[in-house]
Amino acid sequence: MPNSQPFPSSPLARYLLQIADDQLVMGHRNSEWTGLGPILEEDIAFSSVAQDQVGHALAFYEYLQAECGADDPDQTAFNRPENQMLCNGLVEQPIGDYAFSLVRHWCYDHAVRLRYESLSGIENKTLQSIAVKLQGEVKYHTFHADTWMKSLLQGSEESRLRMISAIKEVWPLALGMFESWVGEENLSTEMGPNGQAWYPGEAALRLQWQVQAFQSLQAWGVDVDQWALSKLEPVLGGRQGFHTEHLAPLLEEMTAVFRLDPQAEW
Amino acid sequence: MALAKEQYGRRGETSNLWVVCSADVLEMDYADEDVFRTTPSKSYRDPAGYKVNDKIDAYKAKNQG
Repeated sequence: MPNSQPFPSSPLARYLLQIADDQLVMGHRNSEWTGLGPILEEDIAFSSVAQDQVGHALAFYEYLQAECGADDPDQTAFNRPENQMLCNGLVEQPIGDYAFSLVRHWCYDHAVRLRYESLSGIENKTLQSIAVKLQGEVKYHTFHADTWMKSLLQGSEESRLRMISAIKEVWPLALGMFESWVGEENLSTEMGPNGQAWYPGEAALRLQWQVQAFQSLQAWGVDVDQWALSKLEPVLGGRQGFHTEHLAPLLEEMTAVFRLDPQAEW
Repeated sequence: MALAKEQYGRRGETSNLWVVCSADVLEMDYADEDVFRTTPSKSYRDPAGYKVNDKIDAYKAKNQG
């Protein structure tokens, strides 16, 4: 029912908008490392990940325009007030040091991987092919993030401690990626072509994510019990339009050029 | 190295050769070929992919004619 209700008009549209907003803001944040990376090849790789993420946001904004009554992608991305943005608190945080950005990248892209795996089971052929197409890029993102996590957690004592400190800082925000949202239960009863629900819901995704993350951390020598990671409370609000104090300045900067002439053709 | 020179340097201009043990070469798994899936659609990463080339071509055509 495009246009009959204010956008996002369906649980599916809302879910895709959440993914797109996460990718847009994450891509923007990660792009802040361009030119500052620790070595040239890493600078290029990290910038390339950032560029992919903005591209993923575009793919979903385009779908939302074509099928769900959204405005054109530039308007959707750059012309919504902060309280209509649905990104999570993790992606909003400033880049911090490289340990923080790497741990965030690792937490975030593994969550995206699980979302795309789930989305590739949807009945809708267009969305299914978008998910399959983007999965290849996310496979590289997680490979890249795993490589750094493993190297630095098993590197020197200093690198290990700095990574553990970043993990503790990121964790409550990372749990917030799986905040429940209005309409979630309607989407989780929708069947895929195989007769099974394609979307497991946020609590199930969070559990799946955390089990896998703990397995990796333990394999890399992090005692998740010692750091009480499973007892940390999530930072919530993003999915309801309530954001950390870092989103407003980011939007201000990200949309500055767009606002000079919102109707300009690029 | 003596064999490599004839295997690889015999057909075209060559300035150097690097020889490494095949055991020291890292390779990706063929199952991970999908990480390259979207590369062909990223023409914007190549200078030739920019729209401004249309204008440059038009300008060149105009000035040649």
